[in-house]
Amino acid sequence: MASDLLISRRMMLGLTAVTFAGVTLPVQSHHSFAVFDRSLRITLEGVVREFQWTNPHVFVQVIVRNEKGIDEEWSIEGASPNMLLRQGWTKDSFIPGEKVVLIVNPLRDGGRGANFVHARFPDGRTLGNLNSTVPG
Amino acid sequence: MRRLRYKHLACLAVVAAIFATAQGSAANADAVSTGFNGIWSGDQGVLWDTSVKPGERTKAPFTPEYAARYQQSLAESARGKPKADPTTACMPPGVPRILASPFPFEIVVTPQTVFILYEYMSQTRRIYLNGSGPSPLGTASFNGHSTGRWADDSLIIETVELNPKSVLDTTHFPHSEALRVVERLRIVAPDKLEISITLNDSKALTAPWTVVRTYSRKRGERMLEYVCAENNRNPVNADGTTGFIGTP
Repeated sequence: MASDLLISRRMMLGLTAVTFAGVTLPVQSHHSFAVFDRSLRITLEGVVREFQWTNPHVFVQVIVRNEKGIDEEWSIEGASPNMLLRQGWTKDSFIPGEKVVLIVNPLRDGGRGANFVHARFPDGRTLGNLNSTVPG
Repeated sequence: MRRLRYKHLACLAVVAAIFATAQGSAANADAVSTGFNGIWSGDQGVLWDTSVKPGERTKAPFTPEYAARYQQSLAESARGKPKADPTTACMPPGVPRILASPFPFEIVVTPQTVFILYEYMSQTRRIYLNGSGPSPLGTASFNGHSTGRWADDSLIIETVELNPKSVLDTTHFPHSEALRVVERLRIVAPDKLEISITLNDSKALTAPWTVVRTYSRKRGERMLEYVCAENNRNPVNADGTTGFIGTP
């Protein structure tokens, strides 16, 4: 795992945390997204461990190296695969072992979980919409 | 003998005419009913009241008891602690909320029953066209008991026996067990279905209240499976809020 690609969450928080004025849109989801701080975006750089292409929500399990140099697993939640398929995603949208830069809304409790906003892969491919205020 | 033959012929002609008329009206009825067949997807969002923006109060005429209940849900949301709604625990959305689902549904018209197959939570509604008694279970259910009839270019559906555990949207818009939902479905433009939905709820609402939603035909769409319990990592916490199963 290339350590130069793995940037600590604290550092990335300092670099990229962006707040949005209280925009609230209806949740296209089967549950509330209050568990996430949607006024905050952080960037996580890591390596995909697993892509759970399952209902009711997809999850990307990604390994991110923390500021102490220890690898930690994050769980990034997205929308329903049914919905994402219709937006062009596939079961291979995240490949285990692939490097990825994720922009996410973190959990309010500081845990290693977040709501998916955007992904960028080394080949320039992207997923998600940075302008979207609708979760997942 | 000759007179008898004429009589027979006249009778035959009358029978043929009646038969032809019946065939004609059946053909018209078929043309109307089969126009509903196919896969549709909602044009409006998931908020039940289509006339308000997200974050605004619904204009539904709640009775004081249900206004207070709704207000409490809004207050919990404002504190950042909204109670999980029943779908969080993979309960079906129920009627009428399923009409505001962001997933497609398929209408299948048969002579006796209209089936509406919803992708969201893999729900099926059966609309009985030739009358049917209440559910033999004798209890309310998420999709209730629906009867339907054709009226000109419309299908009118009435649904009762609805489970008050369900809410109408993420704002926890409540209803009571007295809810009777009347839907009027009609094709208003090519590939455009309109459903006017009237809520009659003597406990929760001071007057019948209608919203009109539209749906677009999705040609070539493929209906997919949706099993909520397959990988639900957002369980309901002990305090009633929505949780998150992260990585140990």
